[in-house]
Amino acid sequence: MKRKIMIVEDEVITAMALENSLRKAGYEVIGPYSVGEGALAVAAIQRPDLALMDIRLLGLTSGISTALELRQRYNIPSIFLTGQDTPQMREAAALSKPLAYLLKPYTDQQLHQTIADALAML
Amino acid sequence: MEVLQRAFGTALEQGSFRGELRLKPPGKGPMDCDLSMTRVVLDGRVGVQTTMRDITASKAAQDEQLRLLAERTTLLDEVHHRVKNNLQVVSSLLYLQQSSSNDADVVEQLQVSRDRIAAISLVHERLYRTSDFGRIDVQPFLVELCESIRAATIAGDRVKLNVYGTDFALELGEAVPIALIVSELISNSMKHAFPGGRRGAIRLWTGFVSGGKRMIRVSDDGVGMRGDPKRVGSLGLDLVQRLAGQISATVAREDSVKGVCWVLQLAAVDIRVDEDVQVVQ
Repeated sequence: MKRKIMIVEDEVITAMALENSLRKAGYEVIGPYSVGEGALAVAAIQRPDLALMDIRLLGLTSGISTALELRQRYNIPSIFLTGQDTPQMREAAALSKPLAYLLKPYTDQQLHQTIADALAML
Repeated sequence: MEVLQRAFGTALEQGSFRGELRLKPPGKGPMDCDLSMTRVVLDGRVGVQTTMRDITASKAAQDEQLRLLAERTTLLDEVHHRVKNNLQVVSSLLYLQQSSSNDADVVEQLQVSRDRIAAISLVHERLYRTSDFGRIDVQPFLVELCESIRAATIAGDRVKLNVYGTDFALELGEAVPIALIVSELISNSMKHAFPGGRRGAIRLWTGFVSGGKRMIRVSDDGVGMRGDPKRVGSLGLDLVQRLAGQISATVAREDSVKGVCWVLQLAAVDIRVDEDVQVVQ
């Protein structure tokens, strides 16, 4: 069965490339969503295996709080995408027990390795 | 005036008190004071000599400076964040173009461009992480560059990459050109030095040569370069030469028994003389 991966990323080109790359690798892609609210509503029905979550999102809910909701409500884990890696960010993000952090800009290899490792942990 | 009373008590008990105090004179704005109290004995009676100095203006200036510094740090973080986001967008655009093409040559060319962007990204990554925004240590930087190239190359498993020698600092303006030059030279070796599944190694040496000049040597133990080096991978090597010129460095191919060896010689590091020091003739 195809693994389902949700994309929550508000930079549309980055999101488009992610979607394309994941589909090619044989994953079922849910999204991309640019705001946390939309992602949460769909996650309730679609139940992805994991979410690729941009830490900074437009809209009311940030990536961190969306990831937290996904984890608490549906036990869906996230991999955070971020251009900024600071101890403060890690501390705030740790609450949602993310499976990994992927630092932008990442390569295809890094993306697929990180996802494979994360799925293996589930 | 509870604060004043406490200060008074301390001065009496311990002999002196020093501190800051904010007064609120009626009808005026708050006033910051530097308070200094000393116990004195005069004609057998104990008293406290008190000096108060108005430091409202200097304190306000100091607060403003701290605020500006914090603001600047936040802005710098924001800029770094945006630069990296934008590099991701650029790389994503090339990726999308790549995946919409059926032409293997186009895919390959776009991949080369994406690898170059990855080298630039690495510089920003390091700059962001270093506490000293002005410089980068060459050795850890090259190790990371090698890692990123190895991960992105199919030949990465067959070819070992080693970094050795002495560490030195790169100036801010040198970092991107050097990342591109070294990445180009390594990619070139990966591509041409080990045909037909050959195994081998690419070695990066860094250190100083005469006159304090910094040097980076990139050598492989592959099959060597056939013909004129200028013709091989022409755009890549043209980039290498021009980028070297941009940072007043020279790059040349050296004779080697086996494989190909490139020597990148950087400008000598400025030895800054403290202008306050007078040279006695």
